[in-house]
Amino acid sequence: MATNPLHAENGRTPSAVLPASGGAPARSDTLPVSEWRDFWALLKPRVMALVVFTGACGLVAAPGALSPFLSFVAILCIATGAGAAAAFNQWWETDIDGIMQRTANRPLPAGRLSRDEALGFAIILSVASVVTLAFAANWVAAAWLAFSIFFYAVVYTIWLKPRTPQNIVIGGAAGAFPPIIGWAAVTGDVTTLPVLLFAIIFAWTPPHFWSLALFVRTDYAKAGIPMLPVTHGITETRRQILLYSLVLVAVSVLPWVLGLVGAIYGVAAAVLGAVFLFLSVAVFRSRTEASADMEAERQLFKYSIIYLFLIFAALVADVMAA
Amino acid sequence: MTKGICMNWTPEEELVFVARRRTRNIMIGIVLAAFAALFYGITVSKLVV
Repeated sequence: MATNPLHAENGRTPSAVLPASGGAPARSDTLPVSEWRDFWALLKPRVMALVVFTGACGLVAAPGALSPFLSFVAILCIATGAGAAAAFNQWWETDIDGIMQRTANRPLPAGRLSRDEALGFAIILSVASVVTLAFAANWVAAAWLAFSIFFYAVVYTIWLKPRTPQNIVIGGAAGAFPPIIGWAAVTGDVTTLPVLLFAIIFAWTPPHFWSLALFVRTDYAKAGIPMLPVTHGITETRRQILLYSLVLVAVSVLPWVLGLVGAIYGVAAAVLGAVFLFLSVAVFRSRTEASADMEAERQLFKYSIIYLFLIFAALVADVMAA
Repeated sequence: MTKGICMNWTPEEELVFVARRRTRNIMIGIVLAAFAALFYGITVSKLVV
């Protein structure tokens, strides 16, 4: 039965979509069926939540105003563009995802979606989100969105990720664009504050990602991805995490130092940054090499997500209070 | 029942193929309909403003 592509795939049973009179019971181990949630999973909804939030914060922080409906459309376009980029990523990395335990059950490696379906979906979402954003807001924001999709799909996924341990440092820029896009949707240009917001996410990405990479490094090694813990070892990764955390804290207080935002943001950035540094030092000082025992790394990873939400929330609170 | 998609397939496999194709078409239809609705909304919104 080599001619049937479905035979090589594993996943959910198709019985859920077979009619009651659909003949003999299906072989649940060989015939996966796609569902709407597989298309949804293709968009990496958890990553999308962070993108939506930071994009919305950029939009709110920008001087001027977009109507509520157009703001909603702009944020939806940013989310959809991010989802499209994630779909491109999974389309390109189907083989790698299949090797890694963390990603093996994604719709493509599990065989619930075909690569052609994923690519088609990604193209439709990319074009639709960019064009819609152009009409809802302006072409500057749309161009930034198009560039961010290109950056994530091509520069990060295809070019950098398989080649250099600096992959997520430079590739992290892709996830840092949403505040710029949100800002540009309102103003039609990009000034110092959105660039600093970009810089915060840019500096945040390495400690965030490497703290995860430390305790799943065997997965990356198995898949042949040159993540820093795989290429340069655990100690060097911990040192880099601390260095980037210092950069992050310095960059995060810059909007306050430069007088672009008020004290609400400044105090929040200082306090949140101090906790971030504290946890980074704990990672730096940790000597454990067993993934299961890497509590400091797990704590930093979890906190880094909360940190980004809170610092952007503080920015919005500051702007609203002004 | 769709017939003759691939001669080597069993009826169950053909059912799965049809179900997958239907899911894909529905998803693409939903996305396109959603963006068409957004375009309509944008046009109306800008006219109103």
